Amino acid sequence: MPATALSGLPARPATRSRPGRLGMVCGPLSLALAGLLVGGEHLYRNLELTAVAQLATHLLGLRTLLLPSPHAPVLYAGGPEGMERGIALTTGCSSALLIAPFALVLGLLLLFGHRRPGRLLLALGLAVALIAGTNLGRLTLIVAMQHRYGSAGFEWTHVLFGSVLMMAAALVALLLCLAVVARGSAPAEDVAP
Amino acid sequence: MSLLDLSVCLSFVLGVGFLGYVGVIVTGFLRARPDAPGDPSGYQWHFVVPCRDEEAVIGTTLDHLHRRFPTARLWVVDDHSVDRTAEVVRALGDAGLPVHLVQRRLPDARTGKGDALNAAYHALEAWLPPGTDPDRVVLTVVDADGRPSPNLLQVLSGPASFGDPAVGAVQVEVRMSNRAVAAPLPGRGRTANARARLLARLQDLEFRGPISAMQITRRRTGTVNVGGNGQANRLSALRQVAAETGDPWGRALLEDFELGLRMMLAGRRNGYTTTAWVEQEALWSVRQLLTQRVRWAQGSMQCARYLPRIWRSREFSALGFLEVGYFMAQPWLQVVGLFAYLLPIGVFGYHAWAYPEFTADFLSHGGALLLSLYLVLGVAEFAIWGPLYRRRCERDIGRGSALGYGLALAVYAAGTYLVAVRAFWRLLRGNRGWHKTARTASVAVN
Repeated sequence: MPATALSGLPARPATRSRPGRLGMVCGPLSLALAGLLVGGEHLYRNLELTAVAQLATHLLGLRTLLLPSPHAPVLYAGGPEGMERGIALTTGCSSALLIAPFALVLGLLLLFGHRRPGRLLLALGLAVALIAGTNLGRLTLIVAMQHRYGSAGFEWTHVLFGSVLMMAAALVALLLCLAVVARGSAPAEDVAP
Repeated sequence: MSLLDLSVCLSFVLGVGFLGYVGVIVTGFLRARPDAPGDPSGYQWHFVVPCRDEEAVIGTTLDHLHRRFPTARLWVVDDHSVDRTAEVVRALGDAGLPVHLVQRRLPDARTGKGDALNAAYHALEAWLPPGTDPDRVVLTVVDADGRPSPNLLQVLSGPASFGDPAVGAVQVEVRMSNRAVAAPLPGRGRTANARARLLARLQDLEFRGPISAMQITRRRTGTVNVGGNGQANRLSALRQVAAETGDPWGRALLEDFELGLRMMLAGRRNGYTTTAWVEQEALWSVRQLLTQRVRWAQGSMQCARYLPRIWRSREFSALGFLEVGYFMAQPWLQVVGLFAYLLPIGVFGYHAWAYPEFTADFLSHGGALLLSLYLVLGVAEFAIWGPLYRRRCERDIGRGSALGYGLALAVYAAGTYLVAVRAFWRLLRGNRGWHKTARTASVAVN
């Protein structure tokens, strides 16, 4: 009920923009992306490990062998002396379920309405790039450290450094998204009475 | 995808999300500045005090309110008290205090605080002379033991509060009046008293720390909400909200939060200030505190039914929707989080027992450091409030004590998971009983 109905105050301009065409199209797509990342995370993991294999081959100069598996794809990498222990990419080590919440929330905001839907898409793109990119980097680093330092290199990178890296990336992605959402969102104190 | 994988990912997402949230509200908390006062003479002030069996405190409260705010009228809602509450109020009225007694009798009593406040609202409406400007009438809800700050009316009149015509309600900071009581439980042992003292202090820290910080951030998102004590409402805004159902306050267990939502849905903005405050009694009993918090959590869960209206409303910005959604999801996330956090911990514990060599290998190759980091972060995001509380609120307490309070807050906060589960269980079972929080015994501050 508008403010003028009872109190005689001038009606406050509506705070929220209705979702435009971009929001109405990209909102459901973003939600669908979230669903795909959850439902199709096994496929995503295969793609993720394929990308790591490419990075290991072209950046690290290693030979790689990728084996799909019902539970987790496995990547073998090594130098001329032979392949090291295989690295299995489980759900917990994939970025799929870390990206899905961003796609879900930003998709909802696109459907809800935002003055700058392009910014939300930018935020989503940045979050995906940051998290997926960091995880690719982490996995490649694990391969490199195992190749260089063996089992100890794998353990330290996988257990500690990689986890800290992902935590930092997720936090940065979150704060970045909040900053982008806040910039295009009408602040309450700027709305004229 | 196994349940363990899902739990690990969920706990990571929830943990990072909460860490980010803490960072945002701490930033806002540190940047907050006092609000400018205004001229209260342009308003008509009314205090509404809902009561049930408050004979021990209502007299001194009314006397205090009248001495401090002599131009304000006092409305006491007697919700079928069986003690002498009504007699005390009548006696004060006979002595010349500008007090009104609104009596409710069973079966139309004890149906919730919202109904009691509605009774006061209707009584006030009936009492106001025709032609009264409702934009200039303010009703402030105060607990029976409430003590507003001396500058309350000046701050509420200010440009950040009712001086802004768009503002419909304002919540002031809440402080615990008995936070410094040395012997809260005379006759009980040293341990019981230490626990009671700590509990009171933690409640003060909680309200003036993280809760205040959340409200300050909500000024930016436009989603400030009101609490049960120290909420001030413009009469025109209450009328606007009441137009929908006939009453401004609803029947959720968290009737104040519900009112705040309805204010926002009606196009009003809610304000929050730390420049004025209201003091209330902290609870000294863990059991009482848990009962109170279960009621709050259940009330918050009940308000989830407003989410579709919030979604459809044009009065919320995207940021506001995000904030309200996150806050209302909190109890539900805590229920999920309890299992998401416990499962990996349980599995780790099992592996440590069943596969000690594997576990030792894990710990010696970064696992111990990682777990320590999780522990430090998990505790630090609560412990930080101790030093912040000292810096912004209670400069008299020592640095060591401040850190201790912060660490205790981490333990205190862990209790909210159990609260959320209990509230969820009550919601599932359809338990909607309103358990009035019992008054703690008043003890002179040492």
